[in-house]
Amino acid sequence: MHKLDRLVLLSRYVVEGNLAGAHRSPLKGASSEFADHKAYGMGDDPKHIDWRVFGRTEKHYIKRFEDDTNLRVYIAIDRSNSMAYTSDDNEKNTKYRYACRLAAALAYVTTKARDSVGLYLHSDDIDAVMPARNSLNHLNNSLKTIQGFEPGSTTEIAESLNKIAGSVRHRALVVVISDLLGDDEEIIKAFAHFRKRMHDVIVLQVLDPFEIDLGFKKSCKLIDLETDERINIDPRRLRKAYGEVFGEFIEKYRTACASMKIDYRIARTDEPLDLFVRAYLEERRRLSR
Amino acid sequence: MIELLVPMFMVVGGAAAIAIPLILHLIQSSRTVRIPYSTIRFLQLAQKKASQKIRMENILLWLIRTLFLLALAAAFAMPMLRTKSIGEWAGRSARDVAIVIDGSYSMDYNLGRTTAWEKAISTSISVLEGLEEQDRFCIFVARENPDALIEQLSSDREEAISRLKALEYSQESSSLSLAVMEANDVLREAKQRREKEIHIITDTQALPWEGIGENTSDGSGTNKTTVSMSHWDASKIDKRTSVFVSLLGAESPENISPVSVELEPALIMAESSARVTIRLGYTGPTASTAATLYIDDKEIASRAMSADSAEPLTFIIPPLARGRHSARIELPEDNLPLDNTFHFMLKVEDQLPTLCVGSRDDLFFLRAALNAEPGGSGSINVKTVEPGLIPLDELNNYSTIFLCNAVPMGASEVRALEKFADAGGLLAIFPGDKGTASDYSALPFLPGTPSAIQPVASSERRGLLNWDMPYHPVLAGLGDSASAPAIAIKQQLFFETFVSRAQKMISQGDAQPFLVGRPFGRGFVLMFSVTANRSWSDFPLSPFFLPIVHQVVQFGSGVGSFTPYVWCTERLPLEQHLPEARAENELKSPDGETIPIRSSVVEGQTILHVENVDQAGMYTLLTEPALAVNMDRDESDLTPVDPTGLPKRIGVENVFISMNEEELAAQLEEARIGRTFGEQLLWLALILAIIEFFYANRLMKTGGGLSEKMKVELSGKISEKAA
Repeated sequence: MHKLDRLVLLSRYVVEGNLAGAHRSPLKGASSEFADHKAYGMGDDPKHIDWRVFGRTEKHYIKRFEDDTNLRVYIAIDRSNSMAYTSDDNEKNTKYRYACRLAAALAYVTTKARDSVGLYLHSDDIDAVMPARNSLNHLNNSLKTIQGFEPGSTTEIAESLNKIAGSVRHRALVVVISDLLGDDEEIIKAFAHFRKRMHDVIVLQVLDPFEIDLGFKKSCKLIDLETDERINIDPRRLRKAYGEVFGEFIEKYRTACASMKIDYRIARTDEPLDLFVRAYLEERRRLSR
Repeated sequence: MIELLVPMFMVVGGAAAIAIPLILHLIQSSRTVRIPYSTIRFLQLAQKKASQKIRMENILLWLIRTLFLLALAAAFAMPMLRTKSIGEWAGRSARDVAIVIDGSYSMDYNLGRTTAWEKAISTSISVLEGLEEQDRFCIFVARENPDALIEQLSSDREEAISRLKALEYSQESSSLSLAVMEANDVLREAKQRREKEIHIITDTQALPWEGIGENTSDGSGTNKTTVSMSHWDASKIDKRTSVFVSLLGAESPENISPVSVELEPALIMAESSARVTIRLGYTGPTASTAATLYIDDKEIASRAMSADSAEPLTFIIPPLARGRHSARIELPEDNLPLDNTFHFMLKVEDQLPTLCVGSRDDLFFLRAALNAEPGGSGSINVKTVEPGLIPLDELNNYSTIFLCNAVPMGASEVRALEKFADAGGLLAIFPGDKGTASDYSALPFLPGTPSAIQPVASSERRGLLNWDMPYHPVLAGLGDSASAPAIAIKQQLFFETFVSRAQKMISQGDAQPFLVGRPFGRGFVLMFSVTANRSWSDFPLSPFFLPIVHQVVQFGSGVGSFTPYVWCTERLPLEQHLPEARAENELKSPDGETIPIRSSVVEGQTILHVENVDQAGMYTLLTEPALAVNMDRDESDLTPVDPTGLPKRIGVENVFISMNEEELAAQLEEARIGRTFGEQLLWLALILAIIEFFYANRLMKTGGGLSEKMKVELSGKISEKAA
């Protein structure tokens, strides 16, 4: 975790905060963060006139600054049965475990940046809710809560996400960590729900490499972890068609998220978690400048 | 027309082509691993999307594999394409050929400008010349026992042709069944899968086909038929072997030959005439012929007769001097000249030297029967001596010795008599009152061990004599048992046991042995159960006494072992046919070639024999005529075989019958068209195997997954479209 100390989970959009922090507020104020220019008008404080602009344009513009606020981050973790899958020899390295570790890393980064972090654990319903707080104790309690759950039951991801969207009152950064192996249309609607409520949304789709590439070497019978359905496959013969189908599935999320300005990422469980988090946060910070 | 040379492979291969994919499928199914997976939704979609393609790939792969197995099976099954048009284009395959030539003397049948034998050799050479470089062949000559001219499969045609040109027929019959089975064994031993041909080249005679395809004996009971029967097994011949039968003899052969002669009496006395009866055999339409009798190469008489006459032809033999005389019957030359002459031998004796041992009283009736009194017939030279005065040094001068009430005897006398019998003499023994049963038991040459000399119960005294061995030379001229007399016996010698080779020749009443004989060395011993005078029975007074005594003397003079003629044979025992031969002697064939006399020891006895007595004519021993040898007259029967029945008798699918060389050539041209496609099918199987290998590998190849197409950065951002 200490490797993540200097990283900050920045919101790319304005959020409403309860503490003065490093994030932009929709209320323009006295922060040092430049917001935009406005033509000078009656009543404006002449001290905000941007003289440099005047020098170039010989017109008076008022330089406006955004009001900095602290960030509320809500992390929604999917604990459906499909998250229990792993292709790793170590059966404990499931997608759920990866998602938990990912959530912990993000929560830590958030807390260290003096932002508030809350937690939603959901399966076919919301199983656990931790409100947004900014303390290491709260973080500790949140992680203990996560540890108390294992993947189980089927998941109506879309329904759970809609509930979460409804429960977050202020604009916040919502991090959805899930494999998204549900009804994609409904899930995308749930994302839209978040956006409609002005939340900044990050979707981290946790996938096992075998789910992406169908990496089985020999013919086998696969048993669906959620529906218990079975299927005999010859992976070598099916890989190409599977790639096409699964690619369409991912592309659908990617396109939908891009249109809603949702940051959509794929988190492969075979990638080192710290590298992924560092790369992601650094890229996000770069983009937020 | 396509036929399979080895159809077993097709059956097995076809079954494998069906079964192996199924077995693989079952094995694969049973080994499927079960793995929990996050969701099978996309797999179902992928399968649905790819099902058409996968099905096609599976069908294609199955098709390739099945074709591969079928091609492999078909290659080993050796399909043979015989369609003429395609076959000519395809050429012909390598073959193994067995040629069986009938080597019997009937092949010498004159067909005008040539003989059946010459045609057979010419046809064999044509067959060889029609073979290709890669073809192989073996050649067998059918005789009574087949000869291998080329024993192992060979490709050296020049050597084979030179051997064929030097080949000669034999003066014996032939068995095609033995030769064909041996030839077939050679073809079977050659493991290479080639086309196989058996060529049977013979005349039209039915005789050599005996034993081929016959399930029952012809009733003749001859050994030859039995041997042939035991060797013929059509199941050993590959059903796809082509059998070419060339019947090169005359379609309707004609032949007349003497088949047997009969001498009467068998022993001819000097200065007395005799009679010889000749029987003829013929094939074809009946015809008249003339037979000429030669004795010592001098023409004696000539007679004309019809070949189908029921009455045999009879010649009177004029009085001859003592000794052996060669004789022959000759018929005019016909198409088969070899069997026109029949050789036989005449044995003429001037006296039959006989020694009678006994008292005057004991020999009274015997002397009378042998006409030994002064002034009697000179044909039997009788000398009588008292017991104890046996001239031991002169026994070799006699052919028969009668011992009448002559026991007990001294050891030297017993040894001398034993030696006499062992050397080929005849001992005839009448018991008497001078000796007891134990005295007789001391004689080592008796046919049995006497138990007692006892009076016969009055109720059993009179009884009929029975001829137990009516064909024995001693009894042969005495008529059947119906003419046997009844005699009265007061006292008799009884036997306790008999030696293994003892022969009960005459019995009296209730199976009581009356005359018992046994071979002893090269001689013979006869033992009566009653005396030679009237003291024990009225046997000397019976009409049977005189002829049997004369028969005994004649038997003793060697007439029993005299053989007027023998048949050509590979091995002839001399003990029976030429007893005077010694191991150090040499037999001369009619051509003057020396035939060594060989000896072998059987059951402790030395047996003399000669080998390869296969030339007809008169054989000589010490310049004297010794054996008259004739060719087997079964072979003179040229009754033609029915060609239409041969395929069924041979029991093979492809049997081609030809009556001349041209017809055979046409059949060969027809049958040899086409070739096996085993090699081509193996190439096809190889190509299919390569296709299968690459195609299956391409299908099995782990194609790039979605990751390769969809670039995901370290930060989880998708840099390229996933779909």
